Amino acid sequence: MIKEIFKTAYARAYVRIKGVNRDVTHFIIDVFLPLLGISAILFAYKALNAPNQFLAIAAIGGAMIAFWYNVLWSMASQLYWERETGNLPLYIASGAPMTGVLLGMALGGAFNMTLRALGVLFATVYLFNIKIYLNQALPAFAIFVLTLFALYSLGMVFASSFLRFGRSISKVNELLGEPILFFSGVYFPIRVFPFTVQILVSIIPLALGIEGMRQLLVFGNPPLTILWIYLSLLILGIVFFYIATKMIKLMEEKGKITGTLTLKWE
Amino acid sequence: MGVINSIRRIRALVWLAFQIEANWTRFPIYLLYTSIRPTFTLLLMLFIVVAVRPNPQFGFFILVGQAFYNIVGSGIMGVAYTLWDDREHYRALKYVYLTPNNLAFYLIGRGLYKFIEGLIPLTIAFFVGALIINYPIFNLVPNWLLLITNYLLGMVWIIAFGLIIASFLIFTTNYGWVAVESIVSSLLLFGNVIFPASLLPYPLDQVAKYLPITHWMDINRYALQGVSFTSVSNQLIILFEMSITYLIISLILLRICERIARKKGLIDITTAH
Repeated sequence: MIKEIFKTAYARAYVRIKGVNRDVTHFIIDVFLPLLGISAILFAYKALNAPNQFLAIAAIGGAMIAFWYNVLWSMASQLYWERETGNLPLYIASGAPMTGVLLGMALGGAFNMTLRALGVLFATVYLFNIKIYLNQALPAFAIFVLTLFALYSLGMVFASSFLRFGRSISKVNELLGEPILFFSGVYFPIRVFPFTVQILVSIIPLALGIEGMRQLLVFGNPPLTILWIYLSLLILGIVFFYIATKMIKLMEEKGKITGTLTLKWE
Repeated sequence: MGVINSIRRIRALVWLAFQIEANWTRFPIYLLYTSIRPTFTLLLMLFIVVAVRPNPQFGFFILVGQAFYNIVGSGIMGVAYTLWDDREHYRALKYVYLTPNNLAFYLIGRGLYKFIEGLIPLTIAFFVGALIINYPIFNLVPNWLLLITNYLLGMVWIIAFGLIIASFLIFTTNYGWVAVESIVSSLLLFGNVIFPASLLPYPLDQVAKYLPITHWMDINRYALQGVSFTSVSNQLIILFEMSITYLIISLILLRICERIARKKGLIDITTAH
């Protein structure tokens, strides 16, 4: 079963990676577009004569935005779109484990977005002459990987549960977009929130990941001081992944009974 | 007779846009939905000021800029995305030619709804934002006439931008959202929205001068502070001229692109859904 899951994941990830990267225009667009928005934020900080650290804070947060949108639009609503285009019944009929399909979507999406996020980060660091602690790159990378694990596991939970939505799915995604970015403090440090809010937002993988990377890359703090972030992200990832595997089975079984797996134009 | 007929058709198109946008839920929930996103986008920007240091003057700059920028984004989307959505998603674009509307009229009518709908989130976001940065909003004595005039001028150039994008969307398949996002994001960077465009390095600052949004944002800020018509007359004239110029260019461009697309049979091409 494990082998089948990984074979399916590889197949699904291959389509996603190949599909998005076969045309280099996609990459250029995906780096250039966020760069416009992030540049505006960095200019706003410059207008306020903010210290260089704020530019680094916004650059790291800005580069991570792509992952959240990817989770929402290419994970959460993906199975809904697969159902609309008629692929979902084919997945199920093929006998490929749906956990593998979800995992493949996650791995492919994470890979694609990582290339783009790095592009955005390097571009902003270079264009705005932002200083970061490069000697902390390795522990920051570990935080980054754990963030993706937790974030895309959450995306897998969304993908399974969002199957029951109709066309209002896009509205749900839109509602989850900016509020989560705000509470994750993508453009500003989350310490501006009251302490209780800071505690609450720590269940958002994006908020934790961004904060961890900032502590390392912007403030140069040693990894041990943010051990709790590593552990929290790991626990969140495991919990979300477990929920996702249970949820997708449940939704598949329920869909077969109620006959909603082929339902379109709700 | 022609005017009354046009108003009737506009009313029908605005109603259609409302139904497409809002009939997935109950009206109060829809209002909440339309307000949440702009409010949080505004908060995202305002917390830049909160994070650095309290600065009411710059806070007001961002508050007005971002609140009105939401209208820019949704207004452009309202026109441009309609073409893409009707063709790709609903596959209904070809049926426009079976109605008494021409394409430009149809897109403008559909897009107008966004300017009505957008007023609610604009107001809510503005009040919430002012509360966050402790801006004494009730001390403002806005020049309402100037504000309304500027809003109407804004509708003209925003619709023009929407039509320009729609002209290109007629030919594109996968890059629909890219065209919309590129223009909307560029306006955030060049448009005097969350920082003064004068901060942009040369030659980027020159781009800002030829964009109506730069002047539109300034006049919005002046109008809210109660500045008189005569004090901003120069900028108002420039904005008026730019808005009309962009509108004329957009209508010509759409006409040309539409004609080519119909000849090549591209009006109802679809790639997904």
